[in-house]
Amino acid sequence: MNYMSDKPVVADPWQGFSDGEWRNKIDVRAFIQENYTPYDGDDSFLADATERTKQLWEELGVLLKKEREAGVLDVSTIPTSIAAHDAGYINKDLEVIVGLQTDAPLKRAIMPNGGLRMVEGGMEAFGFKPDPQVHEIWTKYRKDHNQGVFDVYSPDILACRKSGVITGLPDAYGRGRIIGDYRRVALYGIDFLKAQKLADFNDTNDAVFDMDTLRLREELSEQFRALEELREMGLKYGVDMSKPATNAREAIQFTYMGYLAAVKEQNGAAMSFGRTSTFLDVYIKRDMDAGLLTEEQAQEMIDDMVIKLRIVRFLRTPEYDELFSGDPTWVTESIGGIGLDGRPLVTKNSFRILNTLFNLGPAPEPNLTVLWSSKLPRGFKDFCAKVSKETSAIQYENDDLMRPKWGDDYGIACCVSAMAIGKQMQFFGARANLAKCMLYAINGGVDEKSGKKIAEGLEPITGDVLDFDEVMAKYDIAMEWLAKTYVKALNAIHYMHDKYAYERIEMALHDRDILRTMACGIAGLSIAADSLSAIKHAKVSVVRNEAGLAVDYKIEGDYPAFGNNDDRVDSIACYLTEAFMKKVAGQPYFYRDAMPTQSILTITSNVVYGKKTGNTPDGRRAGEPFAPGANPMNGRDKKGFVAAGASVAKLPYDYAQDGISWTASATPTSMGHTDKEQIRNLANCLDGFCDAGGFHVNVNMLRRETLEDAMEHPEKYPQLTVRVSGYAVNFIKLTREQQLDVLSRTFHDHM
Amino acid sequence: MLFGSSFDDCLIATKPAPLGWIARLTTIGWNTPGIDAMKREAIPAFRSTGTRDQKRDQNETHSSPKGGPDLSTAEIENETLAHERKDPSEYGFLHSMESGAAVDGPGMRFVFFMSGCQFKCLYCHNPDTWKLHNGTYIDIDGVLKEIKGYARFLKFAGGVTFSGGEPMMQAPFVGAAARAIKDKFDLHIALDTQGFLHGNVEDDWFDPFDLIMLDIKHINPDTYLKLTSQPLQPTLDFAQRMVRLKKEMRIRYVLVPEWTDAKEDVEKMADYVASLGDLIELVEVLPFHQLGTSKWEKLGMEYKLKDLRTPTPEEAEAARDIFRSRGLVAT
Repeated sequence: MNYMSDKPVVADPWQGFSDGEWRNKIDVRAFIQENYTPYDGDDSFLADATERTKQLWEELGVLLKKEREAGVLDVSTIPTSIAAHDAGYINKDLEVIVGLQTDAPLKRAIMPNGGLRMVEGGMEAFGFKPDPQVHEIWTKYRKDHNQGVFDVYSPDILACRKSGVITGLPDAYGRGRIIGDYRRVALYGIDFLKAQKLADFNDTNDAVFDMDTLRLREELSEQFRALEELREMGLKYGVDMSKPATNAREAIQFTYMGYLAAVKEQNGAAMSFGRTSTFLDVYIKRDMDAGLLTEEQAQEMIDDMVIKLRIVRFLRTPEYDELFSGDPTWVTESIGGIGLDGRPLVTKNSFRILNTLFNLGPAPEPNLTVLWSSKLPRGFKDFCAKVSKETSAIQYENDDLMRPKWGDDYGIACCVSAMAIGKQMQFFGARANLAKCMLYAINGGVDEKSGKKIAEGLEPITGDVLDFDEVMAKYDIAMEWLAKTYVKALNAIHYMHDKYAYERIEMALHDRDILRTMACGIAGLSIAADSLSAIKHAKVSVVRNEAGLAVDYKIEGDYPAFGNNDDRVDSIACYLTEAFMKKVAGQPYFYRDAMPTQSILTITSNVVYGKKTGNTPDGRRAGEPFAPGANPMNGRDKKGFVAAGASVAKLPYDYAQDGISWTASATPTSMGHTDKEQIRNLANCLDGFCDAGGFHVNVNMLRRETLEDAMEHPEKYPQLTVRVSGYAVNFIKLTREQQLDVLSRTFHDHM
Repeated sequence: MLFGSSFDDCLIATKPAPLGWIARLTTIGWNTPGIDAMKREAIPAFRSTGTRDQKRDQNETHSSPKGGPDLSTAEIENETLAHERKDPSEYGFLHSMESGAAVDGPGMRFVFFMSGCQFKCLYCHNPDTWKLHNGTYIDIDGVLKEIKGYARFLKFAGGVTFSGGEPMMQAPFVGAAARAIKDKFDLHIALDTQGFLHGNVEDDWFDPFDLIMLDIKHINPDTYLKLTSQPLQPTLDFAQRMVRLKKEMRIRYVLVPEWTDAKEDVEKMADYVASLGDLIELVEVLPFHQLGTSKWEKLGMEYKLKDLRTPTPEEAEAARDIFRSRGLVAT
């Protein structure tokens, strides 16, 4: 492996790069724009996995199998930090890109700053003994984020949390959804980054020491220290990141190490990677042009990096898994898109990273996300469609919608949250249950399952037949109450997270002044819209129990359901999106001046939401899963997936700037008779969906029989990947309930 | 058999006798689901108050039902009759619509599956489309409204296909609908037919269609009759007519083990298709599948091929090779 050991003699690490302003101040975007080479060809240049890659992946496969059987392979008892663990390897002699979260592969770290409860619960659930010393430290001497939040929560927030009208709040674990600009480590080196932080710090020496300034100065000091720890961490692997990367291998290694530091320090709900492939292409191309690197070697390094990203692990509790199952980490890498100057940001390396799905087989992580535009080159579109068709492992998001808002150097955090890299972060807010909120409107704030009063200030509807105008009037009040309680909870959570579990290294790889969004979310949109449609277009009678609580609904007549491109109901879904967003935005205070946004996304929590919600006026039975994200309810989209997509595409991105998730499933044969037809049709559908203003789509190209067989014989399908509302998951790691949910979703297999 | 014979249905659709079938409707009674569905679509007031069965339940369970005005059966019939006085080119019966079909013509298609078929193909996978009235009512405006939201997409991704059932059973309506789509959106339009009924339409009826997808079930007239309960000759005449009209054609041949897969039959078919000349864009050899079985069961009809195996990929490929050896493109 001479391209590793024979470090080319480059006196100037930036030799051959443009002589732009990016050399003087941090500006990775400018560096990319001035130095990248767009590629508009096809996939024929790609190289297969090398023998070394195959061997490494096989060795890891043994451990992955053990992990699947045990749930968690091993836990390190050292409370983690960036440099807490010694170097770890899968097989030191085979690895091209190095670095693990702890000192051994798949050995999970504990991160008690987010919440000791999550650490101890996770350990006990998988048969590991929590360390009494750690317990003592985080109960006697050091407070965690989880404790901080519960010290300030109000009774109404606790009641909402318990009833499930608000679920998944990051109050017991890391909030995640922050993307450090890991590329900065490679482009500038740590010395330069530290100098910048010091300059930022000194800029405020003479400022008034108010709360904001003090917090900023403390954070800059933490960031500065975190960068130093990152250097230490690298040195344990023999990697010195003080100066800029001098070649492609170093660029990949440094970028990955920046990311590795983040996942050593934070157990975030989503720990995304950013938008690195085109950045790295600049280095790869420079080495190739100099005759220092072959295509096979370039692919080998990308494969190796992806192997590392595939084994990022966090210790979590079974309750967490019930919400977000399949052990997800959302190592999202955003690929493609179009630059502000109109040039596609597609390079050969955009192909290479997708090619890992062939070289290593399909996998849910890293969460490969293509930023789609009808202006992408044909060769790249066809390759994406081909990868989708064969692996179901990529998701698509509409670059034409996002670029005007976030520029051309944003990345996706988690599933659908766009943020300008290094310049923007979000305060993750999970989601509020709009369907259950409607039941509160009908029952005067009393929970339909527990019978307890949850929402104050609401009187129940007493009529036997639901009247649209009356329901809407009450629903409006209920949503107002929900938004108020929800935003209070989020302000509490993020204040405490900054205080007790600050993301030091991730924020060190951001600018000093950034945009923060308060990322709220809604679940149950299609149920709420269908319920209102039923109330309006059919006749919905209320069935009450002895206590007078509405517990069921009788529908007479038909009603138009969301997902059939029918404006009579699609307009209701759009209205609800806008209405709830406005209620959120109307709240008086957002921590750190965050800009309120919302997502329509559930991930796999649609199953838990279903469990926690009683019968709904659309005919859905109590306990039945919600549709994921912004999807139409299962089986109600009668006109095929183009109509379903058209309905979803109407939802206004302006009122859901944190993203709108749609999961579409089709069998390959329904997309055409031949491979070529299937690929072209899929690419055209993506163009059509984006043209209609659709935001995001998960593409599943699976046969029902494959999934059924995988439920019976999981051992045969260790790598079977399906996309579920914003992320991909290993199918065999889902609970049986969730597997059945995936199955019952419409398979658009028109015959 | 739910009602009527296939031949009656055929007459209804092809002859402009608008009052003919409504008489039949009233004698059949209200319990046929297709009719209820049709009425719901056709009569807005009826739609909002539920179907007749639901109304009856409601009357039994609630002493004073709320809702729209109570339409008596006579009123409903009057409303329906009013519709029937319309020109048959203005309305049709639709089995279903599919917004994203990729196997019903080139690219992604919006497909109108029209109700009604006078064939009774043993291997039919959509026997639920046979009955003309087993569908919902739609008029030209309705068709244009459906297409409108997808026109931009269909323009580059594919087009519109009229399928069925047998779309030519409702030739006046399908012709008018295709023409309206062509005029308004200029989309690629395909007709998926077995050609049997072409004698009922003039040459200019075919003007809006860019592609004829002709399903030839078998090349041997006797087997054809056994398979479909209809003669082969009209279909062959149709093919010749399309050649005369210079219509691009895609031939579809369903490969059914024991029925259509004999090598000599496929060869004879390939010779015939090749003789049609350059207008044949493509031959699609479609391997028989069993996914229609549940539909037969649901309809309470005997499915004679329920134990028949499906062809292997190799067999399908061998059949395609026979077509290819005649210089045809086959998939």
